Amino acid sequence: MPGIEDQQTIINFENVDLSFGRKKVLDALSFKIFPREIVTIAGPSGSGKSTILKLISGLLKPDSGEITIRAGRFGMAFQYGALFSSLTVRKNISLALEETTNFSKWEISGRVRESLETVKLGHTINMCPGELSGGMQKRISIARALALHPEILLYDEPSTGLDPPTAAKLEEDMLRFRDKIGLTSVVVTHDVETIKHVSDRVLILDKGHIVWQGTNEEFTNDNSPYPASFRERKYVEEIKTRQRRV
Amino acid sequence: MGSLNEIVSYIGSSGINLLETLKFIARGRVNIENTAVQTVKAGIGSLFIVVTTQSFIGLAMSTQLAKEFEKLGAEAFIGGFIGLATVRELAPVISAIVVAGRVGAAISAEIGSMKVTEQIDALRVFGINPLRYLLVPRLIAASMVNPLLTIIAAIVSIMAGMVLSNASVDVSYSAYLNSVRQFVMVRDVFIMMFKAVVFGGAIAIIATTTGLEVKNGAESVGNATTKTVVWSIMAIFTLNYIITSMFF
Repeated sequence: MPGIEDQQTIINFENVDLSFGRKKVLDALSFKIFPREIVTIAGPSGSGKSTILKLISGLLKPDSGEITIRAGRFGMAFQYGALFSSLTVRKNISLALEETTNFSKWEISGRVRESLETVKLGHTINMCPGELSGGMQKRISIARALALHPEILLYDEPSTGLDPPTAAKLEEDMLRFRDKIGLTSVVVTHDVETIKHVSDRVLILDKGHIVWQGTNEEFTNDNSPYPASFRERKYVEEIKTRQRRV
Repeated sequence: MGSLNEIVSYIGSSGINLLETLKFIARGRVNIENTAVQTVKAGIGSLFIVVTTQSFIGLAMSTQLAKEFEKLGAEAFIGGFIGLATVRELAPVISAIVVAGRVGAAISAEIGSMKVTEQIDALRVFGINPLRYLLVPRLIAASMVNPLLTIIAAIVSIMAGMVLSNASVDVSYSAYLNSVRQFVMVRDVFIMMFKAVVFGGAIAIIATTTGLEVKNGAESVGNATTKTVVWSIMAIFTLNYIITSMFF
């Protein structure tokens, strides 16, 4: 995105450190995310990707460093939906509105229907999570977040466990939210297809810090070890060894 | 049971959760719908077990006492003795143990599963305090349901004793009930109710705290459920002694 550095950030991480016990999860992590971007954070399992979402959403606090979020509301689509299993889809979506706003029942009902229509699952309104497929649960999870009219939407492994057509549908939704409602999205994934399909920018995380970042086009064409390891589904060390030989 | 540190930290967490919850209740931040659901769930789920256990306790007590009292020619006092033992100790304690096993374990398993499946994180992300949404309704429900169950338990136990006393040593129903009225004071009933409210609240706090402490996986949920029952039973006996020594 040309001229992006001139914009004001919506999320800013500055030298963020976080440890769980003796294990350092994030090490002087710094990055910026700008409004209306879809930024994908990729990296091997255990690299701290999901931890970043928990820091953005306030579920975790950093040991040191500064996190600045310039958004009133944000939503999160959890890896396995995290729908409230004892509540209907309607109640899952309306709960946060009932508990945290002074909206009338009529307004809340309107928001519920609107967000369900956005993910094209209006017919599930009276169903319980147990009656829905994994893909539908993820999309309801997104609808639940959208009902709050967030400025930022966080996605934790959105395509994990989904068949390719369902994953593609979900990714189309993500692009639509950016284009139609100007949503900023932070997507944590290790799925190359998702990265290529939705990202404006890609950050690759390893051992708690950013080891590579660039646009989607750069991710697709750059032959440096980190983006290449993702595209070719090989360990970074294998790519490095191969490149040394060449 | 865990180390002393673990026990102190657990009691500390429970205390903090209780204070936070009482603050929400004092500010009137109670989800009525959720509280009603929890109350019905706890009451209906426990009623049959409470009635069954208490009727057998009444029968067993009466079996033991009837013959002994007959030897002493004191059959007329059987009702009073069973009434006092039931109202002062057996009904509140046994009902609370049943509620701990039935309701406490269920609360802990439900909240533990919600923790494992990130539902608690979802509540937090959406700005809903898990203590307000989960503990407040359960605390109110358990504190309301347990006294009701305890009254039913006491009545069932005393009635079971009455039927068996009549059948085994021919104590008339009116003599038995007169003896109950003579020995069991209104004050005893109020103390029984007070105990039941405290025990119900303690069970809800312990179950929620343990559920929220679940780290990951099914094993952790199972451990939390066991821990809830063990800690609740210990709390019931400890609190029972404290309340008894306060009033008697």
